Amino acid sequence: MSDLENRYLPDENEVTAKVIDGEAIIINLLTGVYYSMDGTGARVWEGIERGRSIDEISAAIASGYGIDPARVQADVHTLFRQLLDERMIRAVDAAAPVDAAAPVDAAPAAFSGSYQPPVLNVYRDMAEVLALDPPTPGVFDSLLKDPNA
Amino acid sequence: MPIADAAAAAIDASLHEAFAEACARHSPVQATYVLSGRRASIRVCGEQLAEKVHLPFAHLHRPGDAAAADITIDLWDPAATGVALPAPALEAVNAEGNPPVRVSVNGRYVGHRLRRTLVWLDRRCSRITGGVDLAAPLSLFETGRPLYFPLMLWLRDQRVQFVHSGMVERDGRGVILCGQGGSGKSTTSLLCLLAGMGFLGDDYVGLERTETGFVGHSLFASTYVEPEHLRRFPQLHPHAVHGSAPGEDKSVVLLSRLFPERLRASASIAAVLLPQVTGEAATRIEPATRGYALRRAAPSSILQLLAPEAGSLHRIASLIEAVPCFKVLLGRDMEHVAARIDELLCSLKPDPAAEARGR
Repeated sequence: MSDLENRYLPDENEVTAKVIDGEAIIINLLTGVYYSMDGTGARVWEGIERGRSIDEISAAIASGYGIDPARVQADVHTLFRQLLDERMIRAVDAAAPVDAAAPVDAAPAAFSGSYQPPVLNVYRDMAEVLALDPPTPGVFDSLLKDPNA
Repeated sequence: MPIADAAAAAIDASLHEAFAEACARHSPVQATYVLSGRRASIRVCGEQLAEKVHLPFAHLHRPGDAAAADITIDLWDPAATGVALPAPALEAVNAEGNPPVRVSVNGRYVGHRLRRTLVWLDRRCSRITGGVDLAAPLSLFETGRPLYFPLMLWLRDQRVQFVHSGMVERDGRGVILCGQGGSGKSTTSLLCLLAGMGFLGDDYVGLERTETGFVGHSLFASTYVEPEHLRRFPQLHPHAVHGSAPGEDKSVVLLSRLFPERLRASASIAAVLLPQVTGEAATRIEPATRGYALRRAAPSSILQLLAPEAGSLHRIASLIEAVPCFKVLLGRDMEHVAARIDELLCSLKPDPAAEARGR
């Protein structure tokens, strides 16, 4: 299977994310690095949260803007490389179920404005703070447990 | 490395025995407080320690039945009572090779140690027990934010999430000022306090979702000020407690001594403000996108307080989706900042049900 057909999901061991009003905010809980993406980037992240492949995400975005999928695919592929390098996403089994609430073959609505390549904004200021006072190994997992269990 | 459940339970029991021994030697001073809407009974053996523990929480002091408390906090001063901290507790937390936080495998017990403080939280029984040794000076953190770690953890168990923010209010409705260090949230919060607004904090605020909206809760009536703040706010200077240890560049001011009538326990949240120092002449307030607000508000709250958890981002996002968000572009006109914020608060449409809840 080619890279384009691989499916990815957010790496929930490390990151937490929220897409709010078309902007994705993603925080790596272990490194303290946080990220933002709007426009195309936020759409890509939403596709990743639904377990879509690069191919599927690119096709949906291209269809929404009415442009050549090949143009989008190269940009999205580049973004995926960045997301993998930053440990934000992980590859999953191709047979893993995707988000049933959003069928793969649903026609995407037309997007307003013109297509812009996705941009990953990276913020490392909190990572520097965390490096001065790193989390204590083994503590967090226990602190997150239900004490009444 | 987590501590075995049985060992943690044994340490908890030894701390209870030590407290009982301290009570036999020195009658405890008991008082009740309302922490984020929950009743807390605090018993302290050692008059000097009782005063030091009371001051940061003075604005939350309420008459009440200790037996009906949601959390019980038992502390003693080894120096005053002659009852030492049990050796197993001392060895478990922050002894050589051990970190300042220890948690049992099942997550029930949490030990926390600061310079002169060692406490043990039983999350299941809602009980904090420990010693604060006044044989040597407390750190600034212990002075202004006693028991911050176990209290914030217990309150998180009660679904109150602390965020890295300040909060000020008028008539039970407030604005929460979010941002990491250097954003201007502490300065802005203090300017509002000095201008007569109600004050809930300048660094930590408890966030709780209720049926009628979001409520902000105060925990500590203290502020940490840099030398620049003391020059800017000379009223604080006579009350500043200066640090004595290396690295303690700030001073702490216990605000209950200065402005008891302006300190608030809780208030409804009408808006999220995101201060930013600009260096321009005049302060401006303008709408902020929700994405901008979340990016400015969430990281320091999630990464610097307690244990980072995925749900925190979504809770903060829920607040940002529920109320309007504004950038506060701080200019050099410090004398106008509080008035701008007060005007904004007055212009926001009130929700009567939320107001009633906030009082």
